[in-house]
Order: sequence, then C-alpha cells, then structure tokens
Amino acid sequence: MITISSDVIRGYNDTIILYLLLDNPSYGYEISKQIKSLSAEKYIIKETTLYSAFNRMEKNGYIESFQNEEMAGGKRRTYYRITDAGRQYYREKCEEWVITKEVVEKFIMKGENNNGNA
Amino acid sequence: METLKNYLENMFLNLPNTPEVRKAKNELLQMMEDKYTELKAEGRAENEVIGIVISEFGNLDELAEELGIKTYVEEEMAPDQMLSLEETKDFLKDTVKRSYLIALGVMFCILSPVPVIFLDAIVINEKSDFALAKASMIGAILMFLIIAIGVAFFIFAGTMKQKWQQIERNTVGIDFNVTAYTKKQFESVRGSHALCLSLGCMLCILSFIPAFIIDTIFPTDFWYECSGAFLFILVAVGVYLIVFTSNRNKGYQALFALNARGTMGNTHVPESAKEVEYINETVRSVMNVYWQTVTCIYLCVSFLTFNWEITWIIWPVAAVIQSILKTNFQKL
Repeated sequence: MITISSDVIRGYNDTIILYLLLDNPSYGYEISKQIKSLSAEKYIIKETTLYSAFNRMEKNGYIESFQNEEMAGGKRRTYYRITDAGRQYYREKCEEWVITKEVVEKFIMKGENNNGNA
Repeated sequence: METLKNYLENMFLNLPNTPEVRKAKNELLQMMEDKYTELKAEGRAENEVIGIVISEFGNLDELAEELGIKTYVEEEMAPDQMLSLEETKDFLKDTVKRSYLIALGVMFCILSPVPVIFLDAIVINEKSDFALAKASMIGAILMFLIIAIGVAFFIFAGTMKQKWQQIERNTVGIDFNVTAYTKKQFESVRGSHALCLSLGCMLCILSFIPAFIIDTIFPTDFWYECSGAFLFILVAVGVYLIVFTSNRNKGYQALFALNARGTMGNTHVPESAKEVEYINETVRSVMNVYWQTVTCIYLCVSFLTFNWEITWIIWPVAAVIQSILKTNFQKL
C-alpha cells in the first residue's frame, strides 16, 4: 500500500486538524486516531508532526489550548479548541485546496499509468 | 511505559531547558501515554505496543524548527561521545579505589611524625648522647619512609585519574539511563558520606582527649613524651575518613556535571553550580543566616572567655556542621 509522503501533505495538516476541531474540542491522541480512521489508515500522523501543528496554530491564534481534567477522566490532559480566526483560516484553506486540486488534476495522467491505487 | 519514557527522555536530553521545550515534551508524553494505554487495552503485547508508538512518534527535526532549537538537534552528540553504563560503573569503581589511595596517602603523611615521637619517648631516660642520636636518626628515616609511601599513593592515584580525563574535561556526555544509574548510586552512598564526614570531624576535634587522659593516668616521662602521638593518630584516621568520602563524592559530581547546563538532561546539575535547595522553609531560613550566626557565636564566646587561642575551633566545626546539614536537608 502506498502511504502518503509527509512532504506532500504537510501543507494540509493544519486543515485536517482544524476540521476535526470544528464541532468539539479534542486532544492529541484522539485527533491522531480520527485522522487514521477517517483516512482508512492511509495517513498516520506522527506525534511530533501533530504537536508541531498544535504549537504553530496556537501561536497564530487559530486554536486555543486548555487543561480539562474532567473530560480526561481525572487525568491531566491538554485539549484544543478552534477559534474564530481558526474557522476563517480553515475556510480559506478549503478554497485554496479546491483550486490546488483543480490545478494538479490537470497534470495527472489518467488511465494505464494510474495502476489500481484509485 | 518505562521504555517509552526513557525513549522520550533520551530524545530531549540535549535540548535546551526552556518552558517551550518542557511543554513539548509533556504534550508528547501525554499523546504517547494515551496511545499506549489504548493499544494495551486492545490486548496487544507490550513489545508490539512500544514498537508501534515509537515508529509513529516521528523525529525532532520538525519540532526543532517550530521551537527554534534547530541548532541543538543537528548538533546532537555522536554515540561514541557518550559514556556507556559499563564505563560509568568502571569510573565509579576507579573513583572509590582512587579515593582510598589518596586518603591513605594523606593519612601516612600525617602519621609520619609518630615514630619520631615514640622513639624519643623510648630513649627519654637514656643518658648517652649516642643512643639519643641513634633514636633521632631512625626516627627521621622512618618519617621520610612513611612520607615516601604516602607520596607513592598520591602518584598512583594520579595515574589512575588519567584514564578518565575525558570526564574531567567534559568531552563526553551521559544519557538518561546513565544519569539515573549514577543518581541511584549517589543516593546509596549518601548515608555513608554523612557518617564518614561527621565521624572524621569528631575524631579531629576530639583528638586531644587520649593524650589528655594518658597524661593524667600515667604521669611518667615516657607516657608524657609519647602521648602527643595519639593526637596524630586520631587526626590521621579522621582526615582519612574525610578525604576518602570527599573524593568519592567528587567522582559523582564529575559525572553529573557531564549533563551540560541548561539542557533537558540537566535535572542533575553539579552541586557547586546549583543554588542549594532545602527540603523545608525552616532549614532554608536557618541556612540563610548560618555564617552570620557562626560569626556572632565566635565573637561572643571569644570575648566572654578570652580564650582566643582555642575559640578558632568554632570555624572548622561550623564548616563541618554546615556540610552535614547540607547533605541531610538538601532537596535532590
């Protein structure tokens, strides 16, 4: 099975994480689990990648972190919630992806060379 | 889970100890713990779980850019510059041997006048000059012989030290495991260190007592003459204990010092470079005014008794008490 190269998907880690935070606050492991299951195990995000994204987006004000022991069942755990700036950024990234996809698509060979990974 | 913690500790060992780095480490540990717990709950074997967690952990390069610590990650020490656990054990063994040698050397030097005193005492009632001269000469020869043996011990100890120059020069590092091992060993000799130190000082302070007792009980010329030797013997044993334990301690401090200052590995800074922390407020406040109090006591006692020739003893005693208090009430 071809796995996704981290170089290619790097630009969209933020989008993926923001999407998962749209409805509910969440924490590191839960997000990595969701990414794994939603991508049908095609993309497994590394812990360091995930933390880097959290750290960067928190600095940029797209997400906020907070400690919540109640939700974590008495354990000290850091949760993240999306901010308004984050939602705005997410929408921009979605639009950007539509265009990106359109452009890249034009250069992707269809047919015999696309051997069965679709 | 211990394996994973060690893995993470080692990853972060050479990174600067900043709030950002500490936070990153904490968060990563949380994620690893969560993953570990869940995978274990699925009924997987410990080894498998550890394998999965580590393979999905990623590497620090990425994080380094975010945290502005890229230079540290790239400069990570090559493995041959790390002190292995075996080498550390060897070093600590050598340190103990060396401490014995140095302490013995010092003891011999202090004991060197003892034969002179005894020989003089033996011939005290001799009338002939020849006997006296012979005694002095044998005494002098023995004295130099004993000093020579002491010096030989020093030289031997010095050559043993050369093997471990890399530690003295700080050109090697130690990883988390070795640090933990060293810390455990250090803890285990802490009691004996305090004991040696206090016993050694007690012997030094009380060294005049045997001479005093002997002079009172046996008021003969012979005993009067040689009672002084007992002072040297007691001081020698006392100093032996102090020198031995201080040297052994130095070995541990040298190891701890290998964890560069300001890095995550450096939760164990050398004692000399660290602001000493005490286990509770009371001890802390007492220690803050320690030397002022000692000075005050010294002056009071001296002026009240006018025994200046003996009151100086307060200083060495105070120094000893301070180091005993430090060892026992310090937060590690």
